[in-house]
Amino acid sequence: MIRIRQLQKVFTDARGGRVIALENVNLHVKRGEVFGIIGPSGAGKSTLLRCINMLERPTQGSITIDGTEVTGLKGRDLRIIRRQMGMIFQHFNLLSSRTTYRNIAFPLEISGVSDYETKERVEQLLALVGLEDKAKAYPSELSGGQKQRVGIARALATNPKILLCDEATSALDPRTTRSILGLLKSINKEYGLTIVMVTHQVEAVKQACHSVAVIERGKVVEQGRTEELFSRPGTETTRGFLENIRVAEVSGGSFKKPGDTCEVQSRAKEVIKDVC
Amino acid sequence: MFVDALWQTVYMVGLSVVISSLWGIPLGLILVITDTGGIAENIALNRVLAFIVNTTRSIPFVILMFAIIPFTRFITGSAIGATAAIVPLSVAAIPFVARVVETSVREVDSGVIEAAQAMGASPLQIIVKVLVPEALPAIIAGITLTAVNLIGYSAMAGAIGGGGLGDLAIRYGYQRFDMRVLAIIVVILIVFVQGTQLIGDYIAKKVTH
Repeated sequence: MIRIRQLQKVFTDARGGRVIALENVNLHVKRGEVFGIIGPSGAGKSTLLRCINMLERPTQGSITIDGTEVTGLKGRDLRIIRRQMGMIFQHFNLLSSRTTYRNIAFPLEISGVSDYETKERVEQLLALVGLEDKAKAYPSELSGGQKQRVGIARALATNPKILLCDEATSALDPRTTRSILGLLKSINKEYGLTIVMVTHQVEAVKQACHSVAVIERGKVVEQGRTEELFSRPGTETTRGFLENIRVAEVSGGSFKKPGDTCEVQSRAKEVIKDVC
Repeated sequence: MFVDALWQTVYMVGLSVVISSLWGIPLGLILVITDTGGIAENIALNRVLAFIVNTTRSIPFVILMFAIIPFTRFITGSAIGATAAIVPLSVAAIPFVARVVETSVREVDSGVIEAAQAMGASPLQIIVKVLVPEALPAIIAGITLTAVNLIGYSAMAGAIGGGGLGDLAIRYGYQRFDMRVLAIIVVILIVFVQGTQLIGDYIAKKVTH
C-alpha cells in the first residue's frame, strides 16, 4: 500500500547549516495494517509521517501509494492524492470557528460534496465516534478526547484509504488514550483502513499496531511484527523503550517521555529487582 | 448644526472604514501568504507591498491629506467637502487595516492551516475557509480600532473644509473662541467613539467561539 524507498530529508537552516532528519529510510506498510513508527523525540518520526502526504517534501528517495509516486506531485494532483489520506494530530487542529458538525463537514466542503450528501455522511460519522449530542458544540466546549474524536471523524469524512496519526494520543490521559486507540482499531477492522501511527508511547504501539518500525536519529533501526520485535528486541533503542514501559507497569504510574528517562530507567531496574 | 456635522462625520468615517476594509483586508492577507513559508510564497511581491505599506504609514495624516490633493480631485472632482475627505482618510487607513489584518491572520494556528493542507485544500480555500474565519474576531477588533482612529483623523480633515464635527469644532470653537460649541462637540465625539467601540466589541464577541 505504502512503499518508502531510500527516503532522505535534509533541513537547511537560514545560515546554510544542514540537519539530516531522515536517512535511507525503507518501509513497507501493507494494506489494512496498523503500522507504528516509534522512537525518541527528535528522531524524525513525525517528519517521516509528514512526507507521506507531502506536508514535508523529501530531499531524495521515493514514496509510492498504491503504486502512485507521490514525491513529485504538485498543485491539483497533490490535492487529489491528499484527499485519499486522512490525518489526525496531537493537538487536534480543529477550526475553532466551526462547530463539530461543520468541522467534520470541512473536507467534504472543500472537495465539493453536495449539502445533502454531506449531511448524511456527517451524521454517520458523528454516530461512529459517539458524538451525536455534540454536533453543535464548538471545539472550546469539548474535552481533549472529544476533540480527537472530531479529528478522527473529520479525517474519515472523505473515505480515505489511509489514516495518518501524528502523536494522536500523546496529549491525552491514559484512559482517553485507550478509548481513542480502541476506536482506531475498530475502524481499522471494520473498514480495512490502513493506519500509520507515529508515537513515543510503547503502550499505544502494543495496544494497536500489527507492525512497528523503531526509528532513531533519522534511521530505521529495527522493524517487524509488534509481538516479535517487542519480545526479542534487537537494539538498545527498542530495549530502552521497553524498559520504560516496565517501569510504568511496575510502579503503576503513567510512563514518562523518553529523553528524560535515565533516572527513571535506573530506578526501574531496582524496582524490577525488588519485585522479582 | 450639530446633527448635520455628526452625520457628515458618520458618512466620512463610515465610508472610509468600508473602503479601507475592502482594500486593507486583501492586502493584509497577501502580506501573510506571500511571506517566507506562506501558502503562496512570493518574497519579491511581499517586500514591495510591505515597503508601500510602511511608506504610507510613515507620512503624518495632515501632510498626506495635502499631498494627495491632486489625486483626491481626480477621484471625487473636488478637494474640499466630506466626500473629498474620504479619499485621504481611506488612503491613510488602508495600510493600517492591512497591518492589523496581517497580525491577526498570523495568529492563526499553523497546525490548523496544515490540517487543511493535508485535507487537500487549495490556497484560496485556505484563505476563505480557514484564515479569515479563524482570524475574524481579531480582524473585527482591528477594524474597530481603525474606525476610532478615523474619527480622530476626520477632525483633521475638517481643517481643509472636510465638514463634520472636526470642521465645526475648528470654525466655531477654535476660531471664534466659542467654548460651549467646543465642549458639546467633544461630548458628542466621546459618545460616538464609545458607541463605535461597543458595537465593535459586541460583534467581535459574537464571532468568538
